[in-house]
Amino acid sequence: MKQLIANTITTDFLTSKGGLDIGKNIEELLQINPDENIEVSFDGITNVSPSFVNGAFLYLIDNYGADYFRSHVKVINATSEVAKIIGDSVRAYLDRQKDFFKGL
Amino acid sequence: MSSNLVFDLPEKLDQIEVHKLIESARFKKPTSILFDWTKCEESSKIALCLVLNLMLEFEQSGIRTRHTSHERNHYFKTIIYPFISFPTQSLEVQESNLGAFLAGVENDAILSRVMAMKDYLRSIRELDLFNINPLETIFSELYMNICQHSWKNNGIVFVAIEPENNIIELIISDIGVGIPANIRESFIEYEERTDAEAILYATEDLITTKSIEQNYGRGLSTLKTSVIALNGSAEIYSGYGGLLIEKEGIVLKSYKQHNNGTQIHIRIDFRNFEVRADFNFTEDVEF
Repeated sequence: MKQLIANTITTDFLTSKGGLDIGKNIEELLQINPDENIEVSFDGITNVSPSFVNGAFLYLIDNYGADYFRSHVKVINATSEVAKIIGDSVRAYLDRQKDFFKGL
Repeated sequence: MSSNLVFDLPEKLDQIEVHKLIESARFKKPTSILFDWTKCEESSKIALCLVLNLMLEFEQSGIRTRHTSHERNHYFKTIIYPFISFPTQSLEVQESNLGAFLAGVENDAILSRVMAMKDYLRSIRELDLFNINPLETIFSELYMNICQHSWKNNGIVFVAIEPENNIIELIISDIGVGIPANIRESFIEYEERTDAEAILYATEDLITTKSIEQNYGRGLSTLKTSVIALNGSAEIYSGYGGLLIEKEGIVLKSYKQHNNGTQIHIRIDFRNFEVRADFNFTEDVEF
């Protein structure tokens, strides 16, 4: 298990570019060891935007697939508000992907 | 051939008038423009955002713009004067450097402006008691929408408080290509639909034209869900269509005059924000 502390990687939690800084850091760890589980700590972060979530997490789902993402990435130490934004955004995207693949 | 345009602004300036001016000015391609405010007694805030947008567009094309005295215009003063003293300077003028952003080059300009707005919102005394995270999120999402989708280098942001009504008002304005044109570019089925229907489609979650890789269609859907959750209102004007978003429902609108770009006017009773409390960093999220 590896842990990333989000606010040591970026100070930008409102744009997709800030999110991508987190996403790329997670990706680097997964490339070093694809079996490693990654926890991303949001300790000290009081707000994130949906665009930030896009760059941080949806980017990984697109590149590594939903199942791999689910089993390897976890968010910890978030406020309830931040947890809701991240959880709702990621789950909406996963549901959408599921519907898309069902429709094929 | 050089030509000087004079825009004789009417006693009551509304956004329809300014959209006509924008189209006329773009068609005539003048070398200098004078905005004559002498007769103007009253103006809508969106109209003033549009004038500022037009002024920026001209200045970036090397066209000289001037104004007569606008002392008599209450709203012009409301917009321009309070913002001049900001440490970040000209917060209302948000240049986006679109090319750099699309190319994936470091673009701290966007972040610094989002942060400047965040700091500004946090400095408003009336909002002290409240958790205004949803407002910061709305602003940053809509600002990035201008940067990524308007194909213009400028947008205008206007923020004001009406303390007597407990209202915070936010206008985000650009005179770029507009939402319906962007939607039709990516979704062929919307070629035959009205502009209002195209705007409504753009407010659905995860609807994106993917103008950059990290776009997932979150800006307008965030606006819609936040405004409804906070029991506020948002009016969107773009092309020949518009939407009024409220808790009670969404009303589609159509207009005879073309709205250049996109104008979004948000009003929220700030007592509907949650009261600010200590943050607990204890939640985990598994997907």
